[in-house]
Amino acid sequence: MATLKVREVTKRFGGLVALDRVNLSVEERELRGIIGPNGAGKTTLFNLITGELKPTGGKIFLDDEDITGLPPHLICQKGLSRTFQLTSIFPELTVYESIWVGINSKRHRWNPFTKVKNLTDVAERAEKICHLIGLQEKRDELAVNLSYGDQKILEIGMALSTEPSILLLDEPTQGVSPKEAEEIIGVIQRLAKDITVILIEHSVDVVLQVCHKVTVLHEGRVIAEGDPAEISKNEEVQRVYLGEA
Amino acid sequence: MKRGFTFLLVISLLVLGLILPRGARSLMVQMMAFSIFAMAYDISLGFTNQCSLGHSVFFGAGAYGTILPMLHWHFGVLPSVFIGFLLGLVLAFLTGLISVRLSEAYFVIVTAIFSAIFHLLAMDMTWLTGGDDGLSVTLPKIGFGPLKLSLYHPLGTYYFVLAFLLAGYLALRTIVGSPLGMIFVAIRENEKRTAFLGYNVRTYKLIAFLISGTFTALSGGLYAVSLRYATADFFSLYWSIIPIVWCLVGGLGTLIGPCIGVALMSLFQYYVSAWWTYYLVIFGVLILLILRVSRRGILGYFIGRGARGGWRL
Ligand SMILES: Nc1ncnc2c1ncn2[C@@H]1O[C@H](COP(=O)(O)OP(=O)(O)O)[C@@H](O)[C@H]1O
Ligand SMILES: [Mg+2]
Repeated sequence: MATLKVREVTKRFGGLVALDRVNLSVEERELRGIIGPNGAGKTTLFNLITGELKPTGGKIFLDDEDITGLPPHLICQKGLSRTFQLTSIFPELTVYESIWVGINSKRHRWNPFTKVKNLTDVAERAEKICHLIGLQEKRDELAVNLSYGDQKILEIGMALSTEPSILLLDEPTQGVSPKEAEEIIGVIQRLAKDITVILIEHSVDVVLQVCHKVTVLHEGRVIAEGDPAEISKNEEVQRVYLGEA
Repeated sequence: MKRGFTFLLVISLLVLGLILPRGARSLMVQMMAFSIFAMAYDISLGFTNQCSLGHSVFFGAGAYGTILPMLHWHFGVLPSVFIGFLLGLVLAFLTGLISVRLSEAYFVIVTAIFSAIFHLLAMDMTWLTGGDDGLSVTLPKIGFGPLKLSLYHPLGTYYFVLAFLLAGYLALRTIVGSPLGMIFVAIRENEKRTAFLGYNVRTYKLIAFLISGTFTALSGGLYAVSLRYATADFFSLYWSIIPIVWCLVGGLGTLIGPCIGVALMSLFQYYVSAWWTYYLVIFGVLILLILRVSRRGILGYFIGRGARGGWRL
């Protein structure tokens, strides 16, 4: 069972209330969308869930285990993995190596007396993920030399490499070409068949199209939650988005 | 091809000991001892991006850890070198425990403070260290069963240090090519991302620092053996800065690169300082020039930017 529960979580930055008593429950194998205007607190929510920031108040549970305030590496080991809005990759590692590092974290870890290439199970799994995300032909390219779109895909691959039960994606299609965006959405849909995915997306259309359930954040509060049909009819959501435009 | 290159290098090192004239051979001994230092330092700077200014602590500790047991308790050379090595491990653990949790800038400052404290202590505790004048020691023979190796024989020290250089290279090479080495490089490339992939970055940085400090102490011990002497000056900031120069010049993030840096800088120092006292000026200009041409030092220039295997060499 991989369920995530966010209970009454608040985050203040000085006087600014970035998140205000937010509640969120995500079921196993759900593809959840999170939308909201810029500055709504979406990234902050991910930062709290994954341990980058500690909440000012409230609790976060993974499968009923309290994970509030744990450091990022422990939260990752418990099966929560994320990507970053501003891509965060290993510039001078190859695609294959970047993914290898994530896979290794759950397996052999650090034995200084074996050779990297002797860990065949890690290697096999790394190849598989390169395939899954469609970067197998670029597996030996340095991450820094990839196109921005491919870097975004690599990020998803890296997040996947830790074998998470819940994957958090922060605007994975931001700044890429429409064609690449389509590929990325395709990858996400494939993933969502096996694991829980929480997707922050700028494009409301994409979210309404692919997600099972959508949460709308505005000024640090959840203003609406429901299936895509309900959300597209919701008046407050329309007002927020029209107001922004 | 790479294997052939390594083989050739080892052979030429073995032969050089026999054919070099006396002066050049002792310069070579010094370069080999420093090469261990340079590679060890790169585990910290080039592999995990920890720019330490505290390595003189380990260098000095290695030197005294090796000299003192021979001087006071008539230990053999090998056990003494091992004690120096262990002393480096202990000090790297204590200083690392405090410093690896700090952010980059504070790490630099705090390690520099360690260097300053140890230098002051070593200068002050003349009863232990001999202060500026240092301590000289007579080296006992090393016995391998009935065979006795004297480090006073012209070739003795050369092959003694060479053996440690090769062993040190192999050990570090193994680590760098292992999963642990890959984790180090990941931390260098993006510390935050490594944490979010499930690694306790602090622990791994500490491990790198330990390896680095310990092998630095080994280098200090060997250098002291080759001089039959140790001085409080080994703790001075100079010995914290010079390895940075070696690594930058030769090529960060590799093992061979820093050795090239050592060779170049030592030869330069040896020949140029003889005819110009202000050789350090040329030294500085040379470093800037090399880095201007290739940000990744000399080796980086030859293997190309971001070449695969750059960090594997
Ligand atoms: N580390 C931080 N320190 C101070 N303010 C922050 C920090 N992170 C986010 N904020 C503020 O919190 C608000 C929400 O930001 P964010 O979560 O990034 O929004 P979103 O991802 O929905 O665009 C913004 O007003 C932002 O300026
Ligand atoms: Mg954001």
